[in-house]
Amino acid sequence: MSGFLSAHGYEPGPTQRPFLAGAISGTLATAPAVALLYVLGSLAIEARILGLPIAGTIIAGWLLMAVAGAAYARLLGRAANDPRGGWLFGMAFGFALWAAGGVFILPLAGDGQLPTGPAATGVFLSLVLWGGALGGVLPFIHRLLHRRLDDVEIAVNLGSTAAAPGIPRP
Amino acid sequence: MAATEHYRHWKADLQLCVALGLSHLRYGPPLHLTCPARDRYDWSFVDLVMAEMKEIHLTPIVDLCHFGVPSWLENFQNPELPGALTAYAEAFARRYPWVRFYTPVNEMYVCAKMSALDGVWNEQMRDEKAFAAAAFNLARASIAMTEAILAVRPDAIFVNSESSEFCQPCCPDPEIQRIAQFENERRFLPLDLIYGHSVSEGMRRHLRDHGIKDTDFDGLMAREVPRRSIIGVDYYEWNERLIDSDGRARSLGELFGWYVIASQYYDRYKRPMMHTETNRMDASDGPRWLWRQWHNLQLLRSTGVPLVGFTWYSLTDQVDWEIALGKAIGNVDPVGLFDLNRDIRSVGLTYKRLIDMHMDQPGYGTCPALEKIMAQ
Repeated sequence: MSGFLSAHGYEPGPTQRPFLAGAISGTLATAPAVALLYVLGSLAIEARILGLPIAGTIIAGWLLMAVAGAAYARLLGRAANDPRGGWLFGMAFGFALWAAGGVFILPLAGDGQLPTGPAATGVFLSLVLWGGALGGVLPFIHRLLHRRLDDVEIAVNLGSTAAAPGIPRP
Repeated sequence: MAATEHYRHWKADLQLCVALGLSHLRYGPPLHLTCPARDRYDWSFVDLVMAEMKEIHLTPIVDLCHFGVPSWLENFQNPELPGALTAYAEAFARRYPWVRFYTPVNEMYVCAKMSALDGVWNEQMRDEKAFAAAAFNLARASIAMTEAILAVRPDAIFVNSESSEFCQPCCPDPEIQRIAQFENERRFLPLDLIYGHSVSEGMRRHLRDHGIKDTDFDGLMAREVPRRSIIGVDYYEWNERLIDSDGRARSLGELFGWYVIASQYYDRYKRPMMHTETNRMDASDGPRWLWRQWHNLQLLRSTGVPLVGFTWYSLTDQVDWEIALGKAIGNVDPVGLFDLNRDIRSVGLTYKRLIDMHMDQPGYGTCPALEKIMAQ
Protein backbone atom coordinates (compact mmCIF):
# COMPACT_ATOMS: atom_id res chain seq x y z
CA MET A 1 0.00 0.00 0.00
CA SER A 2 2.86 2.39 0.75
CA GLY A 3 4.19 1.74 -2.75
CA PHE A 4 0.77 2.55 -4.16
CA LEU A 5 0.59 5.77 -2.17
CA SER A 6 4.08 6.89 -3.09
CA ALA A 7 3.45 6.10 -6.76
CA HIS A 8 0.40 8.33 -6.77
CA GLY A 9 2.18 11.02 -4.81
CA TYR A 10 1.43 12.13 -1.27
CA GLU A 11 0.17 15.54 -2.31
CA PRO A 12 -3.48 15.89 -3.32
CA GLY A 13 -4.09 17.27 -6.79
CA PRO A 14 -4.24 21.03 -7.27
CA THR A 15 -7.94 20.91 -8.12
CA GLN A 16 -8.90 18.76 -5.14
CA ARG A 17 -10.54 19.75 -1.87
CA PRO A 18 -9.50 16.77 0.25
CA PHE A 19 -10.55 18.10 3.67
CA LEU A 20 -14.04 19.05 2.56
CA ALA A 21 -14.56 15.91 0.48
CA GLY A 22 -13.28 13.74 3.33
CA ALA A 23 -15.42 15.45 5.97
CA ILE A 24 -18.58 15.10 3.90
CA SER A 25 -17.78 11.48 3.04
CA GLY A 26 -16.95 10.69 6.66
CA THR A 27 -20.27 12.16 7.75
CA LEU A 28 -22.23 10.17 5.17
CA ALA A 29 -20.40 6.96 6.01
CA THR A 30 -21.32 7.35 9.68
CA ALA A 31 -25.01 6.61 9.03
CA PRO A 32 -24.64 2.86 8.34
CA ALA A 33 -22.03 2.60 11.11
CA VAL A 34 -24.44 4.09 13.69
CA ALA A 35 -27.17 1.72 12.50
CA LEU A 36 -24.86 -1.24 13.04
CA LEU A 37 -23.81 0.02 16.47
CA TYR A 38 -27.49 0.32 17.40
CA VAL A 39 -28.45 -3.13 16.12
CA LEU A 40 -25.60 -4.85 17.96
CA GLY A 41 -26.23 -2.94 21.16
CA SER A 42 -22.86 -1.22 21.11
CA LEU A 43 -24.28 2.29 21.03
CA ALA A 44 -25.88 2.13 24.44
CA ILE A 45 -22.76 0.61 26.00
CA GLU A 46 -20.49 3.23 24.42
CA ALA A 47 -22.82 5.99 25.70
CA ARG A 48 -22.68 4.52 29.18
CA ILE A 49 -18.85 4.23 29.13
CA LEU A 50 -18.47 7.81 27.91
CA GLY A 51 -21.10 9.09 30.31
CA LEU A 52 -23.14 10.70 27.54
CA PRO A 53 -26.75 10.34 26.46
CA ILE A 54 -27.24 8.23 23.32
CA ALA A 55 -28.10 11.31 21.22
CA GLY A 56 -24.96 13.05 22.49
CA THR A 57 -22.86 9.98 21.73
CA ILE A 58 -24.21 9.93 18.17
CA ILE A 59 -23.52 13.64 17.66
CA ALA A 60 -20.01 13.34 19.11
CA GLY A 61 -19.38 10.27 16.95
CA TRP A 62 -20.61 12.07 13.86
CA LEU A 63 -18.27 15.03 14.47
CA LEU A 64 -15.36 12.74 15.18
CA MET A 65 -15.99 10.73 12.02
CA ALA A 66 -16.15 13.91 9.92
CA VAL A 67 -12.70 14.83 11.19
CA ALA A 68 -11.49 11.27 10.64
CA GLY A 69 -12.85 11.38 7.08
CA ALA A 70 -10.98 14.62 6.38
CA ALA A 71 -7.80 13.09 7.78
CA TYR A 72 -8.28 10.01 5.60
CA ALA A 73 -8.71 12.08 2.43
CA ARG A 74 -5.62 14.15 3.16
CA LEU A 75 -3.44 11.25 4.23
CA LEU A 76 -4.26 9.00 1.31
CA GLY A 77 -4.28 11.83 -1.23
CA ARG A 78 -4.84 10.64 -4.78
CA ALA A 79 -5.14 7.00 -3.76
CA ALA A 80 -8.35 7.86 -1.87
CA ASN A 81 -9.89 9.03 -5.16
CA ASP A 82 -9.75 5.61 -6.77
CA PRO A 83 -13.34 4.44 -7.31
CA ARG A 84 -12.28 0.79 -7.59
CA GLY A 85 -9.86 0.50 -4.70
CA GLY A 86 -11.19 3.24 -2.43
CA TRP A 87 -13.40 0.94 -0.37
CA LEU A 88 -10.41 -1.26 0.45
CA PHE A 89 -8.24 1.67 1.52
CA GLY A 90 -11.16 2.93 3.56
CA MET A 91 -11.62 -0.43 5.32
CA ALA A 92 -7.91 -0.48 6.14
CA PHE A 93 -8.23 3.01 7.58
CA GLY A 94 -11.33 1.97 9.55
CA PHE A 95 -9.39 -0.98 10.96
CA ALA A 96 -6.54 1.32 11.98
CA LEU A 97 -9.05 3.67 13.58
CA TRP A 98 -10.53 0.75 15.55
CA ALA A 99 -7.05 -0.24 16.71
CA ALA A 100 -6.32 3.31 17.78
CA GLY A 101 -9.75 4.27 19.12
CA GLY A 102 -11.56 1.11 20.15
CA VAL A 103 -8.54 -0.62 21.62
CA PHE A 104 -6.36 2.26 22.82
CA ILE A 105 -8.31 5.46 23.43
CA LEU A 106 -11.73 4.15 24.50
CA PRO A 107 -10.35 2.27 27.54
CA LEU A 108 -8.53 5.43 28.61
CA ALA A 109 -11.56 7.67 28.05
CA GLY A 110 -13.84 5.14 29.72
CA ASP A 111 -11.68 4.72 32.80
CA GLY A 112 -10.84 1.12 31.97
CA GLN A 113 -14.35 0.11 30.88
CA LEU A 114 -14.64 -1.62 27.50
CA PRO A 115 -17.48 -3.01 25.40
CA THR A 116 -17.42 -6.79 25.50
CA GLY A 117 -19.12 -9.61 23.59
CA PRO A 118 -21.44 -8.58 20.72
CA ALA A 119 -21.05 -4.91 21.67
CA ALA A 120 -17.28 -5.12 21.14
CA THR A 121 -17.86 -6.89 17.83
CA GLY A 122 -20.27 -4.08 16.92
CA VAL A 123 -17.61 -1.42 17.57
CA PHE A 124 -15.11 -3.28 15.40
CA LEU A 125 -17.54 -3.99 12.56
CA SER A 126 -19.00 -0.49 12.59
CA LEU A 127 -15.58 1.08 12.11
CA VAL A 128 -14.67 -1.28 9.29
CA LEU A 129 -18.07 -0.64 7.70
CA TRP A 130 -17.58 3.10 8.16
CA GLY A 131 -14.17 2.87 6.49
CA GLY A 132 -15.52 0.88 3.57
CA ALA A 133 -18.39 3.32 3.08
CA LEU A 134 -16.03 6.29 3.42
CA GLY A 135 -13.60 4.89 0.87
CA GLY A 136 -16.43 3.91 -1.46
CA VAL A 137 -18.23 7.24 -1.41
CA LEU A 138 -15.24 9.63 -1.33
CA PRO A 139 -14.19 9.27 -5.00
CA PHE A 140 -17.63 10.42 -6.07
CA ILE A 141 -17.99 13.24 -3.53
CA HIS A 142 -14.48 14.39 -4.45
CA ARG A 143 -15.44 14.73 -8.11
CA LEU A 144 -18.43 16.88 -7.26
CA LEU A 145 -16.16 19.23 -5.37
CA HIS A 146 -13.43 19.55 -8.00
CA ARG A 147 -12.34 23.06 -8.73
CA ARG A 148 -12.34 24.03 -12.41
CA LEU A 149 -8.92 24.16 -14.04
CA ASP A 150 -9.38 27.84 -14.84
CA ASP A 151 -10.14 28.60 -11.19
CA VAL A 152 -6.96 27.13 -9.80
CA GLU A 153 -4.39 29.64 -8.79
CA ILE A 154 -0.99 28.82 -10.21
CA ALA A 155 1.38 28.58 -7.30
CA VAL A 156 4.83 30.10 -7.68
CA ASN A 157 6.40 26.65 -7.80
CA LEU A 158 4.41 25.81 -10.94
CA GLY A 159 5.29 28.98 -12.85
CA SER A 160 8.27 29.53 -15.10
CA THR A 161 10.58 30.06 -12.13
CA ALA A 162 10.08 26.38 -11.28
CA ALA A 163 12.96 25.71 -13.68
CA ALA A 164 15.35 27.46 -11.33
CA PRO A 165 16.29 25.44 -8.26
CA GLY A 166 17.48 28.64 -6.61
CA ILE A 167 20.98 27.49 -5.76
CA PRO A 168 22.71 30.40 -3.97
CA ARG A 169 26.04 31.65 -5.22
CA PRO A 170 28.65 31.13 -2.51
CA MET B 1 -3.58 1.70 -22.93
CA ALA B 2 -5.75 -1.02 -21.46
CA ALA B 3 -4.02 -0.75 -18.08
CA THR B 4 -4.60 3.00 -17.96
CA GLU B 5 -8.27 2.35 -18.83
CA HIS B 6 -8.06 4.53 -21.91
CA TYR B 7 -10.34 2.17 -23.82
CA ARG B 8 -13.01 2.88 -21.21
CA HIS B 9 -12.35 6.58 -20.65
CA TRP B 10 -11.22 7.57 -24.15
CA LYS B 11 -13.87 10.25 -24.53
CA ALA B 12 -13.09 11.81 -21.17
CA ASP B 13 -9.38 11.62 -22.01
CA LEU B 14 -9.91 13.62 -25.18
CA GLN B 15 -11.89 16.17 -23.18
CA LEU B 16 -8.94 16.51 -20.82
CA CYS B 17 -6.83 17.57 -23.80
CA VAL B 18 -9.39 20.23 -24.65
CA ALA B 19 -9.46 21.41 -21.03
CA LEU B 20 -5.71 21.94 -21.16
CA GLY B 21 -6.01 23.96 -24.36
CA LEU B 22 -4.16 21.49 -26.58
CA SER B 23 -4.52 21.83 -30.33
CA HIS B 24 -2.65 18.66 -31.41
CA LEU B 25 -2.43 15.22 -29.85
CA ARG B 26 0.08 12.48 -30.59
CA TYR B 27 -2.27 9.49 -30.64
CA GLY B 28 -1.49 5.82 -31.21
CA PRO B 29 -4.51 3.79 -32.33
CA PRO B 30 -4.15 0.21 -31.00
CA LEU B 31 -2.53 -1.56 -33.95
CA HIS B 32 -2.96 -5.04 -32.47
CA LEU B 33 -6.72 -4.55 -32.05
CA THR B 34 -7.32 -2.67 -35.28
CA CYS B 35 -5.40 -5.12 -37.44
CA PRO B 36 -6.08 -8.55 -35.88
CA ALA B 37 -5.14 -10.48 -39.03
CA ARG B 38 -3.57 -9.88 -42.42
CA ASP B 39 -5.71 -7.46 -44.44
CA ARG B 40 -8.45 -7.62 -41.83
CA TYR B 41 -9.35 -4.49 -39.92
CA ASP B 42 -11.60 -3.71 -37.02
CA TRP B 43 -12.11 0.04 -36.95
CA SER B 44 -14.85 0.02 -34.33
CA PHE B 45 -12.79 1.70 -31.60
CA VAL B 46 -10.70 3.95 -33.83
CA ASP B 47 -13.81 5.20 -35.64
CA LEU B 48 -15.22 6.47 -32.35
CA VAL B 49 -12.03 8.19 -31.29
CA MET B 50 -11.34 9.78 -34.67
CA ALA B 51 -14.91 11.04 -34.97
CA GLU B 52 -14.68 12.61 -31.53
CA MET B 53 -11.32 14.25 -32.29
CA LYS B 54 -12.76 15.70 -35.46
CA GLU B 55 -15.81 16.93 -33.56
CA ILE B 56 -13.81 18.69 -30.85
CA HIS B 57 -11.17 20.04 -33.29
CA LEU B 58 -8.28 18.17 -31.74
CA THR B 59 -5.77 17.53 -34.51
CA PRO B 60 -4.30 14.03 -34.26
CA ILE B 61 -0.70 13.17 -35.05
CA VAL B 62 -1.40 9.51 -35.71
CA ASP B 63 1.27 7.15 -34.42
CA LEU B 64 0.70 4.01 -36.48
CA CYS B 65 3.30 1.63 -35.05
CA HIS B 66 4.52 2.17 -31.51
CA PHE B 67 6.99 -0.50 -30.39
CA GLY B 68 4.84 -3.55 -31.04
CA VAL B 69 3.08 -5.54 -33.72
CA PRO B 70 0.04 -7.85 -33.66
CA SER B 71 0.87 -11.46 -32.76
CA TRP B 72 0.22 -12.66 -36.30
CA LEU B 73 3.01 -10.39 -37.55
CA GLU B 74 5.40 -11.92 -35.00
CA ASN B 75 8.19 -9.35 -34.58
CA PHE B 76 10.57 -6.93 -36.27
CA GLN B 77 12.69 -9.67 -37.81
CA ASN B 78 9.79 -10.64 -40.03
CA PRO B 79 10.52 -9.59 -43.65
CA GLU B 80 6.77 -9.32 -44.23
CA LEU B 81 6.56 -6.46 -41.71
CA PRO B 82 6.98 -3.53 -44.14
CA GLY B 83 4.33 -4.87 -46.48
CA ALA B 84 1.82 -5.54 -43.74
CA LEU B 85 2.30 -2.16 -42.06
CA THR B 86 2.10 -0.42 -45.41
CA ALA B 87 -1.26 -2.03 -46.09
CA TYR B 88 -2.41 -0.87 -42.65
CA ALA B 89 -1.16 2.69 -43.24
CA GLU B 90 -2.92 2.86 -46.59
CA ALA B 91 -6.16 1.50 -45.14
CA PHE B 92 -5.93 4.04 -42.31
CA ALA B 93 -5.31 6.96 -44.65
CA ARG B 94 -8.23 5.91 -46.85
CA ARG B 95 -10.59 5.57 -43.90
CA TYR B 96 -9.62 8.90 -42.32
CA PRO B 97 -8.71 11.12 -45.28
CA TRP B 98 -8.94 14.24 -43.12
CA VAL B 99 -5.95 13.14 -41.00
CA ARG B 100 -2.85 14.96 -42.15
CA PHE B 101 -0.18 14.29 -39.49
CA TYR B 102 1.43 10.89 -39.16
CA THR B 103 4.23 9.16 -37.30
CA PRO B 104 4.56 5.97 -39.36
CA VAL B 105 6.88 4.21 -36.89
CA ASN B 106 7.72 5.67 -33.49
CA GLU B 107 11.29 5.67 -32.12
CA MET B 108 12.75 3.15 -34.54
CA TYR B 109 16.15 3.12 -32.84
CA VAL B 110 14.69 2.37 -29.40
CA CYS B 111 12.34 -0.20 -30.89
CA ALA B 112 15.16 -2.07 -32.65
CA LYS B 113 17.46 -1.81 -29.63
CA MET B 114 14.95 -3.00 -27.04
CA SER B 115 13.70 -5.80 -29.29
CA ALA B 116 16.89 -7.11 -30.87
CA LEU B 117 19.82 -5.88 -28.79
CA ASP B 118 18.53 -5.66 -25.21
CA GLY B 119 16.19 -8.66 -25.41
CA VAL B 120 13.21 -6.98 -23.77
CA TRP B 121 10.48 -6.54 -26.40
CA ASN B 122 9.07 -8.53 -29.29
CA GLU B 123 11.74 -10.93 -30.64
CA GLN B 124 13.73 -10.58 -27.36
CA MET B 125 17.08 -11.11 -29.06
CA ARG B 126 20.55 -9.90 -28.07
CA ASP B 127 22.30 -9.92 -31.34
CA GLU B 128 23.95 -7.30 -33.58
CA LYS B 129 22.67 -9.03 -36.69
CA ALA B 130 19.13 -9.03 -35.32
CA PHE B 131 19.47 -5.33 -34.48
CA ALA B 132 20.56 -4.48 -38.01
CA ALA B 133 17.69 -6.52 -39.45
CA ALA B 134 15.16 -4.85 -37.14
CA ALA B 135 16.48 -1.35 -37.86
CA PHE B 136 16.31 -1.97 -41.60
CA ASN B 137 12.89 -3.55 -41.41
CA LEU B 138 11.55 -0.64 -39.38
CA ALA B 139 13.10 1.92 -41.72
CA ARG B 140 11.73 0.09 -44.77
CA ALA B 141 8.32 -0.04 -43.12
CA SER B 142 8.42 3.67 -42.28
CA ILE B 143 9.38 4.58 -45.84
CA ALA B 144 6.76 2.35 -47.45
CA MET B 145 4.07 3.56 -45.05
CA THR B 146 4.99 7.17 -45.82
CA GLU B 147 4.68 6.54 -49.54
CA ALA B 148 1.36 4.74 -49.11
CA ILE B 149 -0.05 7.64 -47.08
CA LEU B 150 1.23 10.18 -49.60
CA ALA B 151 -0.52 8.28 -52.37
CA VAL B 152 -3.81 8.86 -50.54
CA ARG B 153 -3.02 12.21 -48.96
CA PRO B 154 -0.30 13.98 -50.98
CA ASP B 155 -0.04 16.85 -48.50
CA ALA B 156 0.45 14.62 -45.45
CA ILE B 157 2.99 15.76 -42.86
CA PHE B 158 5.28 13.25 -41.14
CA VAL B 159 6.62 13.57 -37.62
CA ASN B 160 9.47 11.07 -37.44
CA SER B 161 9.96 10.72 -33.72
CA GLU B 162 13.18 9.34 -32.39
CA SER B 163 14.70 9.09 -28.97
CA SER B 164 17.58 11.52 -28.53
CA GLU B 165 20.61 9.62 -27.36
CA PHE B 166 24.15 10.57 -26.52
CA CYS B 167 27.14 8.67 -25.17
CA GLN B 168 30.06 10.41 -23.48
CA PRO B 169 33.32 8.45 -23.10
CA CYS B 170 34.55 8.38 -19.53
CA CYS B 171 38.25 8.47 -20.32
CA PRO B 172 40.90 8.60 -23.06
CA ASP B 173 40.98 4.79 -23.41
CA PRO B 174 40.81 4.22 -27.22
CA GLU B 175 38.35 1.34 -26.81
CA ILE B 176 35.98 3.45 -24.68
CA GLN B 177 36.28 6.28 -27.21
CA ARG B 178 35.49 3.82 -30.02
CA ILE B 179 32.40 2.48 -28.25
CA ALA B 180 31.07 5.99 -27.58
CA GLN B 181 31.73 7.06 -31.17
CA PHE B 182 30.05 3.95 -32.53
CA GLU B 183 26.98 4.38 -30.30
CA ASN B 184 26.79 8.05 -31.19
CA GLU B 185 26.56 7.06 -34.83
CA ARG B 186 24.32 4.05 -34.29
CA ARG B 187 21.66 6.27 -32.65
CA PHE B 188 21.18 7.97 -36.01
CA LEU B 189 20.97 4.81 -38.10
CA PRO B 190 17.17 4.47 -38.57
CA LEU B 191 16.80 8.20 -39.29
CA ASP B 192 19.79 8.01 -41.66
CA LEU B 193 18.00 5.26 -43.52
CA ILE B 194 14.69 7.08 -43.89
CA TYR B 195 16.29 10.45 -44.63
CA GLY B 196 18.91 9.05 -47.01
CA HIS B 197 21.80 10.37 -44.95
CA SER B 198 25.15 8.73 -45.59
CA VAL B 199 26.89 6.82 -42.81
CA SER B 200 30.58 6.41 -42.02
CA GLU B 201 32.62 3.71 -43.69
CA GLY B 202 32.91 2.01 -40.29
CA MET B 203 29.13 1.84 -39.88
CA ARG B 204 28.75 0.65 -43.46
CA ARG B 205 31.22 -2.15 -42.78
CA HIS B 206 29.44 -3.02 -39.55
CA LEU B 207 26.12 -3.31 -41.36
CA ARG B 208 27.70 -5.39 -44.12
CA ASP B 209 29.24 -7.70 -41.51
CA HIS B 210 25.84 -8.15 -39.94
CA GLY B 211 23.81 -9.16 -42.93
CA ILE B 212 22.79 -5.91 -44.65
CA LYS B 213 23.41 -6.05 -48.38
CA ASP B 214 24.96 -3.05 -50.10
CA THR B 215 22.16 -3.07 -52.64
CA ASP B 216 19.54 -2.77 -49.87
CA PHE B 217 21.44 0.05 -48.22
CA ASP B 218 22.04 1.94 -51.47
CA GLY B 219 18.38 1.55 -52.38
CA LEU B 220 17.34 3.47 -49.26
CA MET B 221 20.03 6.11 -49.75
CA ALA B 222 18.85 6.86 -53.28
CA ARG B 223 15.33 7.65 -52.18
CA GLU B 224 13.81 11.12 -52.39
CA VAL B 225 12.72 12.18 -48.91
CA PRO B 226 9.26 13.77 -48.55
CA ARG B 227 9.47 17.52 -48.10
CA ARG B 228 6.99 17.66 -45.25
CA SER B 229 9.02 15.72 -42.72
CA ILE B 230 9.57 16.85 -39.16
CA ILE B 231 12.13 15.28 -36.83
CA GLY B 232 10.65 14.51 -33.45
CA VAL B 233 13.28 14.39 -30.72
CA ASP B 234 12.26 12.74 -27.46
CA TYR B 235 14.27 13.32 -24.31
CA TYR B 236 14.32 11.69 -20.90
CA GLU B 237 16.79 11.98 -18.06
CA TRP B 238 18.38 8.62 -18.98
CA ASN B 239 19.08 9.50 -22.62
CA GLU B 240 22.58 10.76 -21.94
CA ARG B 241 24.99 8.01 -20.99
CA LEU B 242 28.55 7.65 -19.87
CA ILE B 243 30.57 4.84 -21.41
CA ASP B 244 32.33 3.67 -18.29
CA SER B 245 35.79 2.13 -18.05
CA ASP B 246 34.23 -1.34 -18.30
CA GLY B 247 32.64 -0.37 -21.63
CA ARG B 248 29.13 -0.31 -20.21
CA ALA B 249 26.74 2.60 -20.59
CA ARG B 250 25.52 4.31 -17.43
CA SER B 251 22.88 6.99 -17.27
CA LEU B 252 24.31 10.48 -16.80
CA GLY B 253 21.10 12.30 -16.04
CA GLU B 254 20.61 15.70 -17.64
CA LEU B 255 24.21 16.69 -18.45
CA PHE B 256 24.18 18.57 -21.76
CA GLY B 257 20.40 18.74 -22.06
CA TRP B 258 17.90 18.63 -24.88
CA TYR B 259 19.29 21.74 -26.57
CA VAL B 260 22.70 20.18 -27.18
CA ILE B 261 21.47 16.72 -28.16
CA ALA B 262 18.64 17.99 -30.35
CA SER B 263 21.10 20.34 -32.07
CA GLN B 264 23.14 17.31 -33.11
CA TYR B 265 20.06 15.85 -34.77
CA TYR B 266 19.26 19.14 -36.46
CA ASP B 267 22.81 19.60 -37.71
CA ARG B 268 22.67 16.16 -39.30
CA TYR B 269 19.30 16.37 -41.03
CA LYS B 270 18.46 20.11 -41.28
CA ARG B 271 14.74 19.56 -40.97
CA PRO B 272 12.03 21.21 -38.84
CA MET B 273 11.95 19.79 -35.36
CA MET B 274 9.57 19.01 -32.53
CA HIS B 275 10.13 17.99 -28.92
CA THR B 276 7.97 14.89 -29.10
CA GLU B 277 8.25 13.30 -25.64
CA THR B 278 9.49 14.02 -22.16
CA ASN B 279 8.42 13.41 -18.59
CA ARG B 280 9.71 12.92 -15.07
CA MET B 281 9.26 9.81 -12.94
CA ASP B 282 9.14 11.92 -9.78
CA ALA B 283 5.77 13.66 -10.03
CA SER B 284 6.75 16.39 -7.59
CA ASP B 285 9.63 17.37 -9.88
CA GLY B 286 7.48 17.44 -13.02
CA PRO B 287 6.94 21.23 -13.15
CA ARG B 288 10.67 21.95 -12.82
CA TRP B 289 11.49 19.44 -15.55
CA LEU B 290 8.79 20.75 -17.86
CA TRP B 291 10.01 24.34 -17.64
CA ARG B 292 13.63 23.31 -18.12
CA GLN B 293 12.68 21.41 -21.26
CA TRP B 294 10.73 24.43 -22.46
CA HIS B 295 13.72 26.72 -21.91
CA ASN B 296 15.88 24.30 -23.90
CA LEU B 297 13.32 24.50 -26.68
CA GLN B 298 13.30 28.28 -26.56
CA LEU B 299 17.07 28.43 -26.80
CA LEU B 300 17.13 26.16 -29.87
CA ARG B 301 14.35 28.20 -31.45
CA SER B 302 16.31 31.39 -30.87
CA THR B 303 19.16 30.00 -32.99
CA GLY B 304 16.83 29.80 -35.98
CA VAL B 305 15.89 26.12 -35.83
CA PRO B 306 12.26 25.75 -36.97
CA LEU B 307 10.42 24.18 -34.03
CA VAL B 308 6.79 23.17 -34.27
CA GLY B 309 5.78 21.60 -30.97
CA PHE B 310 6.44 20.49 -27.42
CA THR B 311 4.95 17.28 -26.04
CA TRP B 312 4.63 15.86 -22.55
CA TYR B 313 4.37 12.09 -22.32
CA SER B 314 1.76 11.25 -21.40
CA LEU B 315 -1.75 12.50 -20.84
CA THR B 316 -2.31 10.10 -17.94
CA ASP B 317 -0.02 8.15 -15.65
CA GLN B 318 1.38 4.94 -17.09
CA VAL B 319 1.43 1.38 -15.76
CA ASP B 320 4.73 -0.56 -15.67
CA TRP B 321 6.32 2.08 -17.85
CA GLU B 322 9.41 2.28 -15.63
CA ILE B 323 10.25 -1.30 -16.50
CA ALA B 324 9.52 -0.64 -20.19
CA LEU B 325 6.40 -2.82 -19.95
CA GLY B 326 8.74 -5.79 -19.78
CA LYS B 327 6.40 -7.47 -17.26
CA ALA B 328 2.80 -6.92 -16.29
CA ILE B 329 3.27 -6.05 -12.62
CA GLY B 330 0.75 -3.24 -12.35
CA ASN B 331 2.97 -0.51 -10.87
CA VAL B 332 1.69 2.98 -11.52
CA ASP B 333 4.24 5.45 -12.84
CA PRO B 334 3.12 9.00 -11.99
CA VAL B 335 4.39 10.57 -15.22
CA GLY B 336 1.08 11.89 -16.54
CA LEU B 337 -0.47 15.30 -16.81
CA PHE B 338 -3.37 13.57 -15.07
CA ASP B 339 -3.37 10.61 -12.71
CA LEU B 340 -5.30 7.43 -13.46
CA ASN B 341 -8.39 8.85 -11.74
CA ARG B 342 -8.08 11.65 -14.30
CA ASP B 343 -7.27 14.20 -11.58
CA ILE B 344 -4.78 16.76 -12.81
CA ARG B 345 -1.23 16.67 -11.54
CA SER B 346 0.88 19.74 -10.83
CA VAL B 347 2.72 19.21 -14.09
CA GLY B 348 -0.62 19.19 -15.93
CA LEU B 349 -1.45 22.52 -14.44
CA THR B 350 2.01 23.77 -15.37
CA TYR B 351 1.54 22.60 -18.96
CA LYS B 352 -1.77 24.45 -19.10
CA ARG B 353 -0.06 27.51 -17.67
CA LEU B 354 2.57 27.28 -20.42
CA ILE B 355 -0.12 27.07 -23.09
CA ASP B 356 -2.15 29.95 -21.64
CA MET B 357 0.99 32.09 -21.33
CA HIS B 358 1.99 31.67 -24.98
CA MET B 359 -1.30 31.16 -26.79
CA ASP B 360 -1.67 34.79 -27.81
CA GLN B 361 2.01 35.48 -28.28
CA PRO B 362 3.27 36.00 -31.86
CA GLY B 363 4.74 32.79 -33.25
CA TYR B 364 3.01 30.44 -30.80
CA GLY B 365 -0.78 30.44 -31.22
CA THR B 366 -0.06 30.02 -34.90
CA CYS B 367 3.31 28.47 -35.60
CA PRO B 368 5.16 30.02 -38.57
CA ALA B 369 7.44 26.98 -38.95
CA LEU B 370 4.45 24.66 -39.16
CA GLU B 371 2.53 26.96 -41.48
CA LYS B 372 5.51 26.98 -43.81
CA ILE B 373 5.56 23.17 -43.89
CA MET B 374 1.81 23.01 -44.44
CA ALA B 375 1.98 25.48 -47.31
CA GLN B 376 4.76 23.61 -49.13
